Amino acid sequence: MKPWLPVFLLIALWTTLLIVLFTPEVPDGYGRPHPRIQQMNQGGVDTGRHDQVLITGWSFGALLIAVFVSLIAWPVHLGTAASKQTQRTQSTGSKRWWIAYLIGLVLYEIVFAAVCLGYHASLADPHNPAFIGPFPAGTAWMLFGLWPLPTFFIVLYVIYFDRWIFTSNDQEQLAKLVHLSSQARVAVDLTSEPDR
Amino acid sequence: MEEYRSVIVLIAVVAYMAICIGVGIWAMRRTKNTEDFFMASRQLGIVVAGIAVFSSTMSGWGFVGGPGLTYKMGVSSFWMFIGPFIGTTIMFYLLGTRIRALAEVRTLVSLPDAVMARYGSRSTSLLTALAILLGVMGYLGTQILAMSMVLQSILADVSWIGVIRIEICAAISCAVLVFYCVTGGIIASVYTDCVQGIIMVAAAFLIFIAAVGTVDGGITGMSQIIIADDPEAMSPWGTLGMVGCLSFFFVMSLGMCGQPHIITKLMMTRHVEDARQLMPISVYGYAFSAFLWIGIGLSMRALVLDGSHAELANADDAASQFLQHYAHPLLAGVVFAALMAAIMSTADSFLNIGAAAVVHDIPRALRNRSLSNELLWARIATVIIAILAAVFALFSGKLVALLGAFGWSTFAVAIVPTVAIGFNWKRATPLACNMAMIVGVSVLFCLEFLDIQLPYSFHGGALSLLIATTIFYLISIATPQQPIAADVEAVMDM
Repeated sequence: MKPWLPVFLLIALWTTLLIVLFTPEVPDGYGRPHPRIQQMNQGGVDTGRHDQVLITGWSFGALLIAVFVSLIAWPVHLGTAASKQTQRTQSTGSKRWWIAYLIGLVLYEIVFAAVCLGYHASLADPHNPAFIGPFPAGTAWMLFGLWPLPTFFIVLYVIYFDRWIFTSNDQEQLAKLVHLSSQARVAVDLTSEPDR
Repeated sequence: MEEYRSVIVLIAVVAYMAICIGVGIWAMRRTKNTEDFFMASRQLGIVVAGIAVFSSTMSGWGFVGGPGLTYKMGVSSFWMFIGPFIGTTIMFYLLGTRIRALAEVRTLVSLPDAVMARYGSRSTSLLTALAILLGVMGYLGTQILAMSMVLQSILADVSWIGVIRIEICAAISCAVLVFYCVTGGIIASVYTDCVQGIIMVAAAFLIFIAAVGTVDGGITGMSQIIIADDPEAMSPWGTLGMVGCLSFFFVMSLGMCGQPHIITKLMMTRHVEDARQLMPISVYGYAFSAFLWIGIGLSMRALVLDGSHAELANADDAASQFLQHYAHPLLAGVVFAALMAAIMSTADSFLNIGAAAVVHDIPRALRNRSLSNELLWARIATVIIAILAAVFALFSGKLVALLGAFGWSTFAVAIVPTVAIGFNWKRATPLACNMAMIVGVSVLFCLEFLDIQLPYSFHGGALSLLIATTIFYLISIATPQQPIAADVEAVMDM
């Protein structure tokens, strides 16, 4: 992983988080008791509770997604580093792995943006939001888009497992390590046996 | 059949517990040493391990607490199951093959063992074991309390049994749990997890179908009723708001990579390459079992809002009230069994890793060697931990609720930087791990015990995790890189 990436992500996360936490809150805007029903909360559509934090909140969410995809791509980067590949396994596919994860990141960010935009659009007439299926648009994008989207990365993992995640080289290397380790254990057992 | 509802439910739960006892007896014959007891000798099949992973994740909190939270805060609670979908994916990428390979090279039986191998530091291993024990006691306490309450409510509905004291219900449910954990260790735990996972997914689908039929218009009808009362409750951010929901997303996603009862299962498969098939089974199993959360939560909120159902005295009653009034008696029986399954599948994992921490990890960190007759001590420790957690749960209610609520966060804060990141990053140092754990857990405890509410309902666990990760990174790059054992470095190079 490029050294600047974790630094950038941490600084950006902290910056957006601190901006959010120091932005004055709207009173009773984050779960006030329902006026009739005791154990239930309301969000309060009339409070303008997201007016000050929609953009920074969106930024925070987008950065979280960037962190998640970076963490997913990182071991693939470690595994496909050129120095570890033999001539035979270096392939176009291995060289372009990062394109797949970049596409996944872009898709994820687009869907998250759709969640935020769907919610923002509903504020124009909150009691009559646009629906996608059985849910308001923003919620539908969340449940039908954001929730299952990691399937993209799961498919990559399953399909390219033996090229990007655990190659035949890795298997050979592991077998050697296990063999050496068991020999070392046998040697320790022999030397620790009492003298006859 | 309605008049026999309570008896049907009781029979289903008793039958389920009998299955657990049977599995315990079967597993006892296969448990010969500590490697069997803690690691199933790394012989778990893909399907068994995959189902065990997701059923350990979806605890009673998800089956009872989840619908209750949806009732209380609307769609906000959905971020708690959306998070683990990406979180499990991240976990497999970061740890799926690496930790399994390390477990084979070094014959590890626990996560602190893996930490010791990676860092060569007894202090880091000790702190990991202590963090695990702390999280286990709190989390296990809430699972035992949940089990006892569910059993009490089931027995109270049966006219010829009536109300039984909660302590007796705790004793009965703990007895079953402890029996199969003591006799069969992780083998019993994993195979009962497999049964439990299948029941949970089946129950979740059936309940979702039942829930859709409770309100005219199905899910659309529920949405419209909830929107008419409070549009924000059906928005993506629910009543909690955007920032609070994103903090849930963060801690439930990344926190998945720090759950020891799940990571240790990755070490138990037969082959490293089993991770390829294990990942989709684990991810989608959890996702499917979340359908119960959606179905019951939304339907109960809608039913109460439009006056079709009486207001709930406690939000956590959402699941049991739904089962009592809207589920066919046979379905209610299956779901109550699934509920006990969800609780026990998590509790047994905690018992096992707690016992490992006490008899294996802490002695090795302190004395640099294991206890003699470790298997016997593991069985004794299992019983003692269960009893302590039960006593703690029954007599320190508020404290247990707090510990349970941040159990997930405690594990996340302690283990995500040290294990999930540190096992991929050679630059990580023992000092960085130790400081991250100490500071992160301290911040978390302060926030919870002093009842400090962050602005915008930002989750304290999320803040603690971010602090711990930042400290881990900064100290690692500021301190000299520590040597890594050649075989461990070779595994990290894979």
